[in-house]
This record gives sequence, C-alpha cells and structure tokens, in this order.
Amino acid sequence: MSATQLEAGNRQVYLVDRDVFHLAKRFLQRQERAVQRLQVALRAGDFAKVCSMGHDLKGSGGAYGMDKLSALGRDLEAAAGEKDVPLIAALLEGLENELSRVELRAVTESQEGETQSSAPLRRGT
Amino acid sequence: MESGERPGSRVPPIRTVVAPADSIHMSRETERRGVCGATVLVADDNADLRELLAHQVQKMGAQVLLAANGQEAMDMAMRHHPGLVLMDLEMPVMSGLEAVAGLRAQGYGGVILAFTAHEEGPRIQGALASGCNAVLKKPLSATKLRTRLTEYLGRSARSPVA
Repeated sequence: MSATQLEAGNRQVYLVDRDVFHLAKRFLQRQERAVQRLQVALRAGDFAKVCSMGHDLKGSGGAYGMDKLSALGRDLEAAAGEKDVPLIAALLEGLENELSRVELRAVTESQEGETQSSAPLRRGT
Repeated sequence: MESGERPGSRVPPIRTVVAPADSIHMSRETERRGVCGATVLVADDNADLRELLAHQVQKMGAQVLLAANGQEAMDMAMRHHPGLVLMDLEMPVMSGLEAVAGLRAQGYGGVILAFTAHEEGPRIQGALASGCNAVLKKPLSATKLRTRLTEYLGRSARSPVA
C-alpha cells in the first residue's frame, strides 16, 4: 500500500486506503509500545534487539507507506550496528516525536491523493 | 525492486517454459485464473507486515495461510501445499533460509518468493541457492506484490507443476 503524506501544521497526515485503515492504526499503536521496548533495550545495552527492531520498523514503515518511520528504522538499525548510544537515544526521541505527530485519514482508493478525506483520526483514538 | 531471480541454469522447482514476453502480456483472464483460488502462505515474524500482506493477498482473491517463523512455515507448507510461499528471510525459531532449504529437501515444488529488507548480495544469492524462485526487496508495494504473484501463479495456472 502507499500512504500519501501531508504536512498540516505540526501534524504529519497520512491518507490511507479505507480498507487498510484499521491495520495502519494498529501498526502505529504497536510502534508506540515498541518505543518503550527500544528504550529498555538501549538501557540494557541490547544492541542486537535495537538493531532487529529498527530493521522491522524499516520494513513495516515502508510497507505502510510511512517513509519517515521507515527511515528512522533504517537509522536505528545502523546506529545499533555501531553501538552508538547517543545517536540511538536521539533517534528514539525522534521516533517518539514523529509518532506523536501522526494523524491518519481514511480515503477510498479513488480518493487517494486528495486532501478532502473523511473521518480524520488521531493515532490511538 | 526485485533483488534477484533464481538462475536459469539451476534446477527450477517448477518446470515450466514460458516466454518472457508472454508473461508480461498475460491476459486479465489468465491473471484471474492464476491468483483467484490459489493458496498463498505468508511467513513473516513481523505482525504488521504479516497482516498487511495477508490483506493484500486476500484482496487478490487468494486464500491465505499465516506463519510467524520458519518452522511454522515449513510445517504449514508441507501440510497444506500452497501454490506459493512468501517467505521472510529473517525469522526466529527457524530462519526463512533454513525453511526454504527444508521445504525443497522435502520435495515442496511450489513457488517460493523470499523477501528481505537487506541490501547485501550474499544474502540474496544464498536465498536463491536455497531454492527460492526470486527474492523481493522490502518494502513491497501492493502493485509489485500483485505483479509478482500474478506472474508466478499465472505460470502455474498455465503450466501445472510437473
């Protein structure tokens, strides 16, 4: 799937096909929990875990068309490979910030790309 | 992007001869016959990807089986004989690579498409050597997924597994 990205003020809006909206919403909810697990892994010095979770985020973020999340996953994976604690901490902060900005809007496939989508839903609502 | 194809010189798991142009210009009816009613096993330990892939494959009209690791994938494929397996290469318990090798060793003759977010050549070559028909690069768009499933299941529909 692809999600169209829009910047709306401080919000990062993704227009998501209506039929996968529930999956995209669940994906974002899982990422919120993943941030907590990543912070625990970083505190424990478990770089393999950080690397693996970054790798997963790179793949799934891309699959859901959320390129910024995918890029953060890619960077986390690389930073974990270098065991770069400050960079990992900064990336986690960036991930948390990005997740807090995300808003999903459901569109039908023919509407994708248009801005007048219906049913705006903030992540986690 | 598709990272690699199983070399033609290797023994292919599906013995079909299809002209490349024919597969490119496959008719809509052939596409429909190839994918609708087919069974596709999706093996990925990432629940987000598994759910999305399952949704996309179901939307194409195929039946979907799900596995969260290589061992589950191998067990399900040998029990249910899906026409095509989408296999993540990195999974817990048993890797996708091991599962592919195990399936081929047990005589599974369906299509196996591996997918990976890794860029390196050796991993891709290893997957092809283990018996994958092709390796697809994550993230995989719905359009690319449809194209590849249609291509491989369409071949099966026209020329049954020998």
